[in-house]
Amino acid sequence: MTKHNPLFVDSTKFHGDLICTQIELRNVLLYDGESLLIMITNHKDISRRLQMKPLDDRTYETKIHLNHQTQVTYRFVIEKDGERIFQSANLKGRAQYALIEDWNPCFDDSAADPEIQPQSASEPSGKDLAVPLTGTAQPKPVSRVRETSMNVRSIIEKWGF
Amino acid sequence: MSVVSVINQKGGVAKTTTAVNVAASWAKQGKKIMLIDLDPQSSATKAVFADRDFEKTIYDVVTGQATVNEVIVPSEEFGFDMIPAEIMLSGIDMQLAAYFGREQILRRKIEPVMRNYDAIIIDCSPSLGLMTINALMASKDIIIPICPEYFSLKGIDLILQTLQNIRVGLGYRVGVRGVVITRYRDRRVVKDVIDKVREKYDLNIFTSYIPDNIAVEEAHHKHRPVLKHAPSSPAAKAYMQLAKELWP
Repeated sequence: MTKHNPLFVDSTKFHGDLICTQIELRNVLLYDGESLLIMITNHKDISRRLQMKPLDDRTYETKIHLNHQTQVTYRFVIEKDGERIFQSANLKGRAQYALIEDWNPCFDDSAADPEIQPQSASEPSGKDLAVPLTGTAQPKPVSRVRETSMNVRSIIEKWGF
Repeated sequence: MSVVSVINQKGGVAKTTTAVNVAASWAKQGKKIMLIDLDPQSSATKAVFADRDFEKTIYDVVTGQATVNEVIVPSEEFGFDMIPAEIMLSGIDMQLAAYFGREQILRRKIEPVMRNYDAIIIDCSPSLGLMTINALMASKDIIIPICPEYFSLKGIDLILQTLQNIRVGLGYRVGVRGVVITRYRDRRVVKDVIDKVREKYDLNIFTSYIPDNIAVEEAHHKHRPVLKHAPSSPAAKAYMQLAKELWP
């Protein structure tokens, strides 16, 4: 977002102050065994993977502490048995009190994920929600994603394309 | 106690008429009500007090030149307390632009008197400025009056976008109590617009439509609530019914 209205900027916070951001993804439907994660990179290039929890039938949320008004990039990922089956494009935004997006799967396998770094001990953000980064828990390469997502019937059934 | 704002960024949709008459209807039911006029045009102030001059208004409260208790004026005719507005409000955005916590001034200022009332209604200005943001940040939820015409849908879009911007940028969630249909006429095109509002938005539409009725305008001229001026008029009955629906 290149434009923003100063009316909607919290005047009690300075640029870079720590705030709790609620991340919300709307219009997403998960099947049994699937889990929804967000991969988010802050302005210091520190990346995190957070599991999102259902808020209602089609909305998922999680919370993270970010630095007010700093640039973040993020991507939503649906995984099953540790394999990535759908993902959104890489999105950019500024850290505010809420990041609200609609689910929009992307089938471009050229966009690589940022390298995920271990969580900083000083960062208080949503430790309980962080997915441990063991070797087996790493997402599979995106070429396998494409393979999975090419199951046309499942796509039509699930997303109504 | 709840604070509710009557808002629509589109003008001429009977915001002030709705705020004043709902407040009067609640007062008639025995509730202790305060109406805050936040519109620089001071339409609600003029509807209640005609051309009476006020030494201190909501402007003085917001700029720290008066306490909220100093500006509350009771209206016997309407049965509620009111904080009047004045034209100086139109320049307040520039005065407060660099103020720390500028978006929550009203909320902090009215806090000391909130417990004295069953409900506080805020009549907002149609423009989106700092005072409108203050009204929303002070409110638990909002009421959206609309005239059922083509441009109304755009008005609702703007309000919902504003609420989302407040949630994202200021971290405060404002609820929508519902949509009030004003100036209702029994025409096909009017019904089509109401159906469109139902289809497009997941919002409660109050069943008491306020009819386009000359009694409302006459009541403004006499500086009386329509339920006193013409109690048996369709508009007075509709406002009484709406007030019951709206009560939290």
